[in-house]
Amino acid sequence: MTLSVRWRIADIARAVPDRTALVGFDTDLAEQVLSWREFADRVADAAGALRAVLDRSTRSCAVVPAGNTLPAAIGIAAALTAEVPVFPLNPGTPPTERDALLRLLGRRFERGYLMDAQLRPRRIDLPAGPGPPAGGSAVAYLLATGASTGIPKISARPGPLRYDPVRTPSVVIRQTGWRTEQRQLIVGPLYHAAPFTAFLDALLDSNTVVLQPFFAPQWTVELVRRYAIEWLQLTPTHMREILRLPDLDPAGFASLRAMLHTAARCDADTKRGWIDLLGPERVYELYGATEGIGVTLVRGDEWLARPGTVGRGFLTQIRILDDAGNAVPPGTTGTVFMRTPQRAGRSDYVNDQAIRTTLDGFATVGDHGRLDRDGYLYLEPRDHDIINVGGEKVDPDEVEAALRDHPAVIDAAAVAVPHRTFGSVVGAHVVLHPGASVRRAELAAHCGRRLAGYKIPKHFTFVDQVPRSAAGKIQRWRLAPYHENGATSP
Amino acid sequence: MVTLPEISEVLSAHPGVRRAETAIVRHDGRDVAIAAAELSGYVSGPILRNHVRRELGEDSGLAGVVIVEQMPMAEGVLDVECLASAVAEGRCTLFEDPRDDVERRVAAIWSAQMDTRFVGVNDDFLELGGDSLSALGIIAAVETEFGRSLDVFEFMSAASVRRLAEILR
Repeated sequence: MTLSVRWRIADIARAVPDRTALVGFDTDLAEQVLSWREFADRVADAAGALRAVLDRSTRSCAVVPAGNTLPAAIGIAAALTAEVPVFPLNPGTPPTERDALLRLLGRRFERGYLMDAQLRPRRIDLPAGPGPPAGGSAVAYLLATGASTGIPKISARPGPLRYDPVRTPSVVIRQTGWRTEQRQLIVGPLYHAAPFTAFLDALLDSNTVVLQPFFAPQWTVELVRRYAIEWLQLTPTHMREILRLPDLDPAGFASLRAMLHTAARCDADTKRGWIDLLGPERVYELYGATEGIGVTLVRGDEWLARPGTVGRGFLTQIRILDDAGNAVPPGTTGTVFMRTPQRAGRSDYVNDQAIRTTLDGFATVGDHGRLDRDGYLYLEPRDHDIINVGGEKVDPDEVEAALRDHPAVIDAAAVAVPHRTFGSVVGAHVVLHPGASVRRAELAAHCGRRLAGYKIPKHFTFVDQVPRSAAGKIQRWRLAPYHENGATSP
Repeated sequence: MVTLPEISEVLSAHPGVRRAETAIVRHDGRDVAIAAAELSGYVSGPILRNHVRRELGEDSGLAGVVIVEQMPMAEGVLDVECLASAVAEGRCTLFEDPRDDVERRVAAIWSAQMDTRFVGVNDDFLELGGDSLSALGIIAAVETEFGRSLDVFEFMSAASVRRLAEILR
């Protein structure tokens, strides 16, 4: 038995009209609360407004500027209710990137409707792509991905979205301590895949959702305590910043059944910090690309037994293949291919950067890694992130973790710097604590106590912040490039 | 008796198949009918094999389907050597009936939970069309039938009736 989004929201509003559906904050950070009845009414109104302007004979999509606000949440729910494919847009997208994204949408859709903060749909022009828009199956929603490479991609999830009591949320999410009708805090922005899908699951599984409009670690901790949050998804960056808070009290997390982190790789210190804070049974990690080709899951206790692993495939088969396409034995690194039953739900790309697949249905997004004998997966850095120092490979994550270990350092990004002899050496962009100062030589010495010589950064640049995607991945292409002499371009 | 061209014809009519050819291949001292299929969308070998069995009956004799990128041809005819090596290298799952009681009971559970009559003991769960629901259904049914708990990871790493039966023995 499945239900449309429209019927599911109506059902919940009938069953628990006065229970809280959404808690949000306006621009003055005043709390706004919507009961399920109020939420259902607002969604029905917005969906009606969208349907009224919609021309069903043209392929259309809805674009919702998706900060963590009540209008964004209502707009997304309204588009899903009207069964119009919805694209949650980062409201802070610079104009050139925004144009590129709209061009990608234009490859599949002829018309877009922007849902503004007043939830009035406004027609926007989508630049026509090369050739007529591709036809194809119905779409539930579209998500921008590829944030770590700088080349925007949009992945489309087949639709329309349906509620199915045994599949919403998916079995793997249920495995991470999720309960129907739980109280969930959404910290990451709704335009990013993980918070977006957590929001959809919350909507269909009658959660009470608290939307944190922007991340501030102290505030996240306060919201967890104030609303007795039971389930929480964070990125490693969120996790790191929360751990830095002075006087962090484990008692403040007593209501929490589980913290799940996804997306970017999490360094070992941060992981251990959270396992210490919550206990290993409440820390879950999921590795699985937005494209839905498979997932791995690992709980804190498994991670402690195998530090660094991202877990075992969950209803997912994993195969590591070499460049020639042959399977390699456990312990050997290669490209990670996965196969999962949810093929029907697999996303495809709106642009041409398709996922690579094998004849027997395994697929990869290009990540590298290895399996141990028990089937636990360990990821290696992506090729384009590895810094090659005279043939020695340096994982930037390792250098960054070493730098962050210094008391004066908040954040760091390691990059390749062109070098006449070695091809490249390591350079570091470093963010210091406000008011802190440290000499470059001291940072180099600090790294020297933790890293092999060739991994020690030879150049340091102090910056105000390291550019990161909503998922917490470092956007290396946004960093000022280093020149051979170690100077950076402005 | 079903002829090889009839099998090829039924396969070619499947929406996921662009082209199919069938041949008799020598394997393990016996002759087996193997089809090669070029795809237009992803379908697995066991799904295509079962499609033929449903259309033409179990006695169609088709043992397996090899998925190929391009139809292997040698001098204008299907390259049987190529199919034989695919079978020998395990790239083509051959249909095989249960050989003992444990395998029969496990296969019956798969068949009921996956709603398919034809479950070969070497068929891969995902290739046979398994999904998260049938996985949970099989796990629950195995726990009842064999009185032993089974987790999702154990089940997925077994992935076939034969290997699952080995765990349960």
